[in-house]
Amino acid sequence: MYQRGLRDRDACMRNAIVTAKADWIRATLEPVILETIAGGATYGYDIARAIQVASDGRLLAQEGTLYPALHRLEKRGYLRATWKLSPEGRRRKHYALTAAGRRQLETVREEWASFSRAVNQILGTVHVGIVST
Amino acid sequence: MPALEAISPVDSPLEPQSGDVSADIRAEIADHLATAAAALSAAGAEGDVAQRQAAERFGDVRRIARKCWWIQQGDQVMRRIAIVIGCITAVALVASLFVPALAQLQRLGDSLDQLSEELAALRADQQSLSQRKPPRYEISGRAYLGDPSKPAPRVEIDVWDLDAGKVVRRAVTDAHGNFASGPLSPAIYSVVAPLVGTGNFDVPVPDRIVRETVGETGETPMRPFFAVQSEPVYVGDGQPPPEVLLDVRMAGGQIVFLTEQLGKSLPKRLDLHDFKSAVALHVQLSVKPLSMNVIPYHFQSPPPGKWPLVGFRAGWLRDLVLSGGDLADLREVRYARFCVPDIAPGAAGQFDVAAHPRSRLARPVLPSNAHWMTLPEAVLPPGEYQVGVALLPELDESGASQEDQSRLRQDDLLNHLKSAAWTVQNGEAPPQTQITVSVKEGQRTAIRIVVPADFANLLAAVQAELARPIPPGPAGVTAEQQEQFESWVQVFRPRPLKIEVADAQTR
Repeated sequence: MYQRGLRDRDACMRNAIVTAKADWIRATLEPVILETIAGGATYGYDIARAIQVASDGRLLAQEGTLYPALHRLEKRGYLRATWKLSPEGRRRKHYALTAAGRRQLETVREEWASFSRAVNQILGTVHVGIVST
Repeated sequence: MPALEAISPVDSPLEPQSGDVSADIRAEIADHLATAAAALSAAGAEGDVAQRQAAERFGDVRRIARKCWWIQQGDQVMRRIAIVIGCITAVALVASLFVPALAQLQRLGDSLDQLSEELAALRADQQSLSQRKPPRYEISGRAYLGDPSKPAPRVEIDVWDLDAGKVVRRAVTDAHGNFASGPLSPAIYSVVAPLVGTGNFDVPVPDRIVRETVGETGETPMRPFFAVQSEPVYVGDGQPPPEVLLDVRMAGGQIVFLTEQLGKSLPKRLDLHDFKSAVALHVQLSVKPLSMNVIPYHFQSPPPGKWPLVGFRAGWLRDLVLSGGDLADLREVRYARFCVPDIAPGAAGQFDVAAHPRSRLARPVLPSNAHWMTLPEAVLPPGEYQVGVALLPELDESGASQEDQSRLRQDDLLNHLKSAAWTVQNGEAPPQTQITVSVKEGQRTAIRIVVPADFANLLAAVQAELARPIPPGPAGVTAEQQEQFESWVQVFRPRPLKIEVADAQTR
């Protein structure tokens, strides 16, 4: 009974970690996109590939989830989109940071550094053992 | 929602930016899928496999495209929905305001339509009635004061329906004495000038009553009618009134003309028998139909029995005669007053005559005893009558105590109602009857009553009565007071007045 209880506890913990991971990805996707576009990627597939390479495939498991985030950033005015023809002759939508996007990226960088530092201070001392299990 | 059926890994519209959000989303996703498939193919995958793997790595194309469309268009959709909801709300609000008004207008319109129909029906009925009804008639004429050259303006003219026994039209003469009755149906009418009111008592004159047979033969037989004017002269509180006007009042109470003042003829000081209240004398010419079923009593004392009681003043009782059956037919029945002890103001109920000593019941002091009809009020049908002349005192009870009333001994002073038989026949020409009662100041002898032969006995009776010495007053009355009282009785002076209704015409 005790062992079963431990297994249930571990399963719940793993589910919680998976759910938390998805939430982290959603929460961090937009800053990642801004950072990626600032790094030179301009259109959807290019941005997706850059994120996957930079994160070793841990972020953006479904490439399609990139596009709603792109459209939200465009709608908020952080990105400016332009249509061009690809070398293959297809219409291709290119994104670039606006001034507001650049300011937002700077802000997010600072907030994330502060936030992650605070979270790391806590998680690194109290819950390291749990996270590692 | 965007139509995503056309999206496929190889579908990539070649046309440049279209501005269509759905097409843009499709183009962007198609470019991603094609680029990914091309990269997979370059890495060695087969064409179909590359496309399938690219689609798998992309995820649910429809769901993602739908999400993108909502991001791009959702605010506009919500704005449109808000606009639509606002419009619907506004329309509902306007409707809630105007629909009831429109409904009311509709009902009003329906009501107007219904009224129009009813009005049309009424007009049709009226037209048919007017075609069936006989022509209406009118009695017109002229009233004058004795001399036809002196018109009687603004006096009341009554048109009596003899069959119905009531006034059916009432007209007022114009400045020239002319009057018109207004429309009348065919019937027999009497036209009279009642002259309700006033004047000196020198007047009883044969006034004419014109019987009009309207719509039949147009004949105008004449019937006798008496107009009587009397005016009470009040002497108040030991002082002569500053001004006493004898007048003739017309309909509505306005004065047609004024006679002279009487105050100068009155004694300077009146405290007769210590009687402080006002005293008035009336001369009244009255008729009493012999065949009329009236209560046969003279108000020396109340008739026996129980009577409705209304106490209007402490010690006084009124309205006994109003329950006299046929008396209600009289146009003017004044209330009788009996001096009765222990009657409280406002008392009501039954008054039992037998319960009170007769000696305590004073004689009523009426301008006209109720069972006598004053001539201005009466249109005499054919029958037997008594004609009477009365000199009646009236006490203004405003200042009189019960003892004062008793001490005045009215029964002894004035009980001058005398009468003679007189027969009125249908169609009788007006008799040349003139009763003149003249009382010279300070004297008692100058009494003349000029009447036809039938009234000779009346004349004799009245003369004898008036010649009778005035009885002495109560004990304690001085000779001077008695003299003053006697002189006061004789203040009336004659003044001729005659009003006739003449030239009545039927049309």
